[in-house]
Amino acid sequence: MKAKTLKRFLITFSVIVAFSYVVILACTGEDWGWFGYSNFSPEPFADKSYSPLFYEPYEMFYGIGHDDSYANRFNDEITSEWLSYCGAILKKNQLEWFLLNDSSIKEISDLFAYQTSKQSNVSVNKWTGKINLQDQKIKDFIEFMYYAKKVENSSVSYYDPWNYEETAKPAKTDSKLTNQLLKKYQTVNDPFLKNRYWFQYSKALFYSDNPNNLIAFFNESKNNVPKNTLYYRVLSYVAGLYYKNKDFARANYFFSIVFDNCVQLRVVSAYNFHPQEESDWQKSLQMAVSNDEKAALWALFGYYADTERAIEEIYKLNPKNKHLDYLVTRVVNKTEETSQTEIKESVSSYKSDLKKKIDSNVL
Amino acid sequence: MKLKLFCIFLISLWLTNCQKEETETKLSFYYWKTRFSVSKFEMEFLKSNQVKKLYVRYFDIDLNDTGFAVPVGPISFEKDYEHFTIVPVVYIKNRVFTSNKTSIKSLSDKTIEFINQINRFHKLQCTELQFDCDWTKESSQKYFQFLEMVKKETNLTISATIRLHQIKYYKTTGVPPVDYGVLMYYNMGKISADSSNSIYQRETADKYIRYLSSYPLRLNVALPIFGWGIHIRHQQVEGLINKMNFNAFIGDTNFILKNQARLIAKRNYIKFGYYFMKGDEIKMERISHNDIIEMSEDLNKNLRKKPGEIIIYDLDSINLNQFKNEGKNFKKILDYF
Repeated sequence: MKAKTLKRFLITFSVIVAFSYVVILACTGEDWGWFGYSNFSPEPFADKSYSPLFYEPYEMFYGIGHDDSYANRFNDEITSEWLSYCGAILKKNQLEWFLLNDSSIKEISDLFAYQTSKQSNVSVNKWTGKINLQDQKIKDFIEFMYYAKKVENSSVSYYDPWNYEETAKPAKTDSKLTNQLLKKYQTVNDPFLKNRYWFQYSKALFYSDNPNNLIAFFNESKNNVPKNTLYYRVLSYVAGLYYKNKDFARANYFFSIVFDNCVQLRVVSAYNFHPQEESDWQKSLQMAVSNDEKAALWALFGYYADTERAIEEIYKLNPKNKHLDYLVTRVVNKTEETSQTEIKESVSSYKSDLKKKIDSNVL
Repeated sequence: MKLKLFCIFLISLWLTNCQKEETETKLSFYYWKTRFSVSKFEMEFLKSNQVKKLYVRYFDIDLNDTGFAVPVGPISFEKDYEHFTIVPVVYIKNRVFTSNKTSIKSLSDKTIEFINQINRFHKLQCTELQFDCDWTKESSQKYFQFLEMVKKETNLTISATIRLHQIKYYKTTGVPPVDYGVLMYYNMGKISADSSNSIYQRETADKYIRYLSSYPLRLNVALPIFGWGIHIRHQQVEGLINKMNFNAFIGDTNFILKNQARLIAKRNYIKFGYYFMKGDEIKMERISHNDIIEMSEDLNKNLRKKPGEIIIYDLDSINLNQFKNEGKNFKKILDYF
């Protein structure tokens, strides 16, 4: 089915080009050279979540150039989930202020201090009347945000590029913070908060002086947490650690699982996926426990190395696999780019030249 | 009689000035990685060849997403740097000087301060700086202004890299206002699928070398010892394999040695992070000891003055391995000057 679709795309594209040529000739009567325009738009043929992975010859990613969403990729999802959890006790704009605004750090710290000291301060005066500081959910939220902002200090660093010390010594999370987070994860009963403390503890470990501790913690706890976005974010941290430890087989296997299950992290996993030797690539394939897991590995392989081969392998595993469409668009666009040829005397000679240039394997 | 004596005096003066300055040419290396750490093998090579000076890339300067000049990839010194005289080198992308967002005064101040920060952090001192920029006619005014400002502010010895086209066309692209230039005698050709060597080809060098004698700035010379592989698919360049370990590919049964400079992939295969399809070729571009001798002889014939220094690009075990046989005799290339 997918192979036929590819052939249909190629024929469609060549007819469009030929038609355009005829129109141009008819309108101007002049010879026009081939200026390298694309006549195939991948967007209608694959889900828009794949669009950064469409074929792009000059940039890392189609449409976005490079990935610069690492600091705000999950903002909408985080806001939505907390809004759902908090209900009416916090308005959306208040939630966004606390969650997404760096200026809230001081106020969160003040409000958290108030919870233990009971001494009022400027922030307490500001927020009294706007939110119920005695509500348990508000208290839990403020406490959580206090720890989360401390972790964020290490994970999202804004520094002056002309300040060498800031670039030389990125802030790490300390053991006091990681211990506090572990305790919260272990003692909190509310499942929503527990899941979030699990994530924050994992993140704090990743940004600590001993990031490999995260691997052990993840292996112990992974079966006790929901397989949601937070899970896949931690899995991508773990994959990164395996990569840094030069266990490329395991790293790439985990990146493929993230790619397969977490749409928001497709760009991250595609960027980081990088087999180094044939042996580690084969080991990654052997780690896959199902055809879909194997297909996810091939889907990334198709982005990184050999799209045609990836399509063949995935089609054998599952002809209806969700990743096939975007891979097919990559083949069409790449073939279009490499088979561009000068428009000569007639449409038929152009089509003949084009057919010779197109790789027979692709057809 | 008086006229005869005067003529003899003039001729003697002319002959004296024609002689190349008899200074001893020294050997040094470029270090071009973001983490400074010299291996045992590299240290032994440097020691046996009496290399005491390293030109170390401190950082690049390029435009960020908003179009402002920022340092990129600053170096961190890990160990063994105290054994050498370090000359900071800053590589600046040409577009920094063609951007109307770049204030030259601000750039020179920030660059000097950033170099000082790196030196303070690692307890280093330096008496000279080098700048590397492939400037053009359009960017020359701003780049030269930058160099003048740095010189004035630091009062250090300032040098700049000079490429062959800037030698030949110096009347158009200008001569940088520095204490001396470093001729980059490599990367002469285009990276292509044909049989040429883009790093060094005598026929290409010949088009430029005769202009050396008229270049108005004193020159030292940078010579290459690096190599790379050009990954070719269907006679098109697919990519560049930097720091290619040639022996690892030659010894791999998944590749056939077509000739001394070409390998062919026997099957689809991943190696060193690169994916090769069956039939892909790798053109191995490298520099031999004979190439270095040939370059040295040609340069010696054409340079106006004997270079004070030969700087080798670049210090790396993969590069040095190609000259293992020369070992402590590597420095004998200086005899050709």
